[in-house]
Amino acid sequence: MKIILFTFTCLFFINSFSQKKRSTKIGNVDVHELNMNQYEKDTTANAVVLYEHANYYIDESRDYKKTTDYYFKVKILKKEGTNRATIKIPFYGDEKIHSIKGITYNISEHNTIIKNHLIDKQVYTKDLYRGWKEVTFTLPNIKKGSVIEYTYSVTSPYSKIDDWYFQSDIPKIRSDFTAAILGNWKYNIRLVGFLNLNRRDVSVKKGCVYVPGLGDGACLILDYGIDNIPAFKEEDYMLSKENFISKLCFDLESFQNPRGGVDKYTKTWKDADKTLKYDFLDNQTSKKSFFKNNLPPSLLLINDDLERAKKVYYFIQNYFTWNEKYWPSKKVRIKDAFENKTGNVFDINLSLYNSLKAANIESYLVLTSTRNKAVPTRLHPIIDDFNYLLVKAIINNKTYFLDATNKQLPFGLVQHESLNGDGRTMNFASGSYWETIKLNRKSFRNIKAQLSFNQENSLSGNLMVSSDGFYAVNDRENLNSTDSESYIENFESKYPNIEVINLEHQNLEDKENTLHQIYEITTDPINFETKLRINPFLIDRYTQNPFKLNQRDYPVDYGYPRNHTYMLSLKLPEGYIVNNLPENKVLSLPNKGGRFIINFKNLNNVISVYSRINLNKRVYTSEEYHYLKEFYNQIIKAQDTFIEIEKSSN
Amino acid sequence: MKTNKLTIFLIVLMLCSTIFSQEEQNLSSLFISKELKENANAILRLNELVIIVEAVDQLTIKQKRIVTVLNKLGKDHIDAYKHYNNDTKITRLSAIIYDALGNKLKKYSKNDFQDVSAIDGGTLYSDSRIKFLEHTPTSYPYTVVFESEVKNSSTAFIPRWFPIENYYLSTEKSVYIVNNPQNIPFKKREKNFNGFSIKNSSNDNVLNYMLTNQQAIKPEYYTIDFEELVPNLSLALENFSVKGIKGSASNWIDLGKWEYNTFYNQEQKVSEQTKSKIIELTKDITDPIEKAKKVYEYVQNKTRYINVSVGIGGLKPIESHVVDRVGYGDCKGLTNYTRALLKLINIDSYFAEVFAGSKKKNMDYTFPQIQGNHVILNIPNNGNDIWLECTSQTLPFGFLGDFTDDRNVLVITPEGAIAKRTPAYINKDNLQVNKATIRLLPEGNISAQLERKSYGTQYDDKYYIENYTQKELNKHYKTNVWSYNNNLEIEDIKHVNNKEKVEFTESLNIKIEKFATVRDSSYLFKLNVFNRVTGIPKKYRNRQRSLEIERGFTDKDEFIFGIPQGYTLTNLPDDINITNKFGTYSVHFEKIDSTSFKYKREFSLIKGVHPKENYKDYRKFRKTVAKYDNLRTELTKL
Repeated sequence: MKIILFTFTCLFFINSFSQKKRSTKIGNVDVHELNMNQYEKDTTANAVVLYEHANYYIDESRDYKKTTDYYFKVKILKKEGTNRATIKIPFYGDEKIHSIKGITYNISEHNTIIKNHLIDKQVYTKDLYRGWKEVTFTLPNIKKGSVIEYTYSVTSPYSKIDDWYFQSDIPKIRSDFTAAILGNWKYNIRLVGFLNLNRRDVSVKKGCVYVPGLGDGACLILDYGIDNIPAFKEEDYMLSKENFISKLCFDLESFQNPRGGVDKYTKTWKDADKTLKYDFLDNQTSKKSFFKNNLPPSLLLINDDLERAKKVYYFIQNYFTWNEKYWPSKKVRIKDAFENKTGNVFDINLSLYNSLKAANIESYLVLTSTRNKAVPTRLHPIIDDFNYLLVKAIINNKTYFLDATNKQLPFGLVQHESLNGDGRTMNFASGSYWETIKLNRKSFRNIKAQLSFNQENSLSGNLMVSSDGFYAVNDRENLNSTDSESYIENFESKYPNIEVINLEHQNLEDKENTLHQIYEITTDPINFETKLRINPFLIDRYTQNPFKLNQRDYPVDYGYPRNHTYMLSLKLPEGYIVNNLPENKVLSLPNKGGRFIINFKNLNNVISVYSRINLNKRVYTSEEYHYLKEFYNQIIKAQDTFIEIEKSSN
Repeated sequence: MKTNKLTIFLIVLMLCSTIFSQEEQNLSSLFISKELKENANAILRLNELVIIVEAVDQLTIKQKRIVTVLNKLGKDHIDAYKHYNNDTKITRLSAIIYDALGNKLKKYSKNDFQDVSAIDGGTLYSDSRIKFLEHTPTSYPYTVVFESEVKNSSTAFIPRWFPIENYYLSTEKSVYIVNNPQNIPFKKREKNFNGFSIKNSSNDNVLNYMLTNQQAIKPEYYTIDFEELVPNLSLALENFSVKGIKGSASNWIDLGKWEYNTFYNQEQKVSEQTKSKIIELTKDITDPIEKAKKVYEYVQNKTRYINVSVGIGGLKPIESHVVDRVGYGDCKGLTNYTRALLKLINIDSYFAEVFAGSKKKNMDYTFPQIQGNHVILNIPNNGNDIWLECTSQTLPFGFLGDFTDDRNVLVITPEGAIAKRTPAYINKDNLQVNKATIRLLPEGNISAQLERKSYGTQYDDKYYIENYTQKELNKHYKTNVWSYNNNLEIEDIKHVNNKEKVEFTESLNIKIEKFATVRDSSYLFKLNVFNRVTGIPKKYRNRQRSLEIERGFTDKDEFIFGIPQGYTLTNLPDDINITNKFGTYSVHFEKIDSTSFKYKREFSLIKGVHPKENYKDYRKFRKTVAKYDNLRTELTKL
């Protein structure tokens, strides 16, 4: 997270209107709340927030710094809810946490309220790392049925207003956010999520601030609230919960200092482009010549544009080792990174961009964010939303998105985690724009098995596993990080009836081409006299549905389309005939979302099986979820089958 | 001739010395022997630990560690980090990175190390911190020279020598030197030295051990613990200091007494209210065990586990009246509180120190050093020991589960420490009985009523789900328990947790759609619907170590199938009976009438250690189990 430093002190503001008075005070729990033993709207909840309130204002008693008073009242409904009584408050740099109070309420046998106060000695502060600290405390005497109440305040010299999460993993009865923001600070306020506000009052209070020498200042008074908030439950294959959880976000737009100057933070893309241009392209000409001088000269002499671009890409990819960091904490210094041969995403892909430029390839920078973060908003530019940088190259009218961080990526593929909604392509001449990141490599895994019965009644032959796209990235990573004996042992452990006699690969180093792994195998002997049933899917059979639940609230986000093919050619032993072949089947997902084909054939006692699964979309909506679940069910069912062969009677 | 010989000798000597000095400084990775590279992700070129016992309350620990990292996975072995806290100070810290040729690439000094709080999830606060090196390598192999010096005022835990640190790491040289200028008496314990190339050149004042040229070891499943496999050396001073408190002991009688008086013999105060509550709760009970059970349940309801560990707080429990007031504590605090409450009703109990974890590890009574990572409470009960895990709010009274079962512990009494063993849960103790009535429906669906009872560690593995929400239970059964049954729907769930009998009962109504394959003339389905064990132990082309079954278990299943109308069961499959030294597997079929039959299955494994040659047979046995657990049978249309 980056914090925009507030360098201006508001010493000469004096509040005449007290927003502070609106903060909720500790000490209001009644017997009803203590006697409550379940939350009717969600009987499975371990705990429920009865009320919570954050109030943001300028605190004259604290050097006119921005202060937020927090109040929480939580009912512990089950033993598993007791962890709600342990509070962790992370904070940064010059922020101060103060006014911590906490009370636990329990009910006695005589229906009287017992109060236990948190004592200061039980509040701990620890240094985490790089300026981050954390205040922790736990409230005393917590039992099933307790109600806890606690308050604390955060006073901050920074301009950032923290997001307010209306929703969390437990339900809430009421959640409020109020604020008095000085008129010269302008924020874009966004509500994320599917819930609607029950309270939404925005007004301007004149005379909210008295500024000596200048007169009265106005404040923006905010009052937001939601009631009866359900718990947020994460689902498998879901994009970051930050996209769906209900919260308020404050993006600083501008600051007008009392002397009249205006500092813009996020206003238009035009402004943002300017800032980014400065950040990334500072001293551009020298960078371009730096890379021109540091790239192997032979690369620049290649005539063919695509060939030259590829060579430059692989050079940068090979040259740098990614330090697994994303957005730089300080200004990008690619020359230093080049010297050290290591850097973050920005160092490496900015080097790639400059190198491509030096090689006269039309290139652009593309900002994205990683999948664990929210998809960047389209409402207005928020530079903090982005933490990943790709390069877009246009060669012979064809667009390629490039990423040199991961050593196993081929030209035209980017890391999966960078695929989070659209990217923002920076065109510093004509302005930036949103663009879908199209990948030039298809992701597939094809299996071709050619088997026959040997003397020992085992199946033997070859299995060729071909992978491309993200499958090849994974396979290459595994092959490169495991010695071949362990790799084979792992394969054999996964498929216990198969023994690998030999494994060879093709194109392990050549990322431009499909990776082939060729296993020479034999299976355990199959004992049969007259009749044999055999499942044709020796490996990669679908046996478990990734989707088991009946309800789905959020889209299934796979990130990229994918194909799986399985082909088997099985030669029958002499004197046997096919008794029964399974049914052929074709099925499709709606909206061209996918297709499954399975085919069985017998030609001169050679059985061929063909199974193909296409999943064509990156994202399946929660409405499509049920089709997707059924699609997998059908695949599992169709692959859980067998070929029946029999000794021929003549 | 003579001179000639001398010259040769001199030359050889000089050669030796140059080779030697080169070895000291040559950080190139080019000449590492093939043997050391085999199965290794990294090579410990040198780990030299020099410990100086300056005084009873002053240790200086100097370390020089050189690691050559061969590949991406080898990074974990660099171990360029140091822990510190209020009485452990890091006085020197540096790391230098060299490339494959031995050229210096980068130097990190103390301030370049990352510095973070080292607090785990269950801990609210502790003073434990860590400084570690963060380095992104740009090519392999590379070498890291890490040097540190740490001063510690606690001398009760002298770092032990553990020269073979991990799997996939070979060791060129590991040296352990202990200087004891004040001649403080100490005890030492050598373990698993046999079969390793260890040189002991210690003398009266200095301990000096060295291990050289040890090849990397590959891990294997189902075998003895790594710690029991590799050599290690521990030292315990007879006069020591811990967090500012001095002690002396040369055996566990004395150390136990010292621990008792220093840590555990506190004034057992609780509030008057709690006191009268406890007396009230137990006043009508005569059996002391039943009384203790009431107290245990009281503690379980009142408290929760929160660890705050500062200074001596890592060893000495927080006072009982504090736990009484706030309702939380760590293992020591909660054990101490339970002990205080039992004292109120005149039941004696003692702290038992233990190595906790599902992998069993014994406390060593022969070696007088503060050991273990956990405490439980022991009620001697006239020789019928009762053991209480005071950090759990849910475990039945007297039940330990696999966290502290079947291992040597040390019970700390005013008369010294006593070695005792916690109860074992083995073989048939860990029983699961699964009974189901399964109706096969004409379209291939099934509907079933199932009752599953679990005991011993199988109880321990399951009982906690009684607190799951419906949604969590649904997911649990669909994705963990019966993941092999797609289209499984659970219609009704009942759980009974009988803490008296330590028995967990799950009663479920289940539907599975499209379970059977229905064809024109046949109806095919898998017989083992609800307890399929399909996992097969990993294959090793060359198994190196013995096979260990740590606890064993028994599963009994009995499914009564009702077959759909219009079908008939022509013949039942053959019975299966396998008994070997690993366990038993049997399947038995019984026709009840023309529309129903019984499937009885038993699968058990027996606790034991078997030679490595048996691993193949064991795997074959498990393969057979998996095969028969996947057995299908066919009904034919009438």
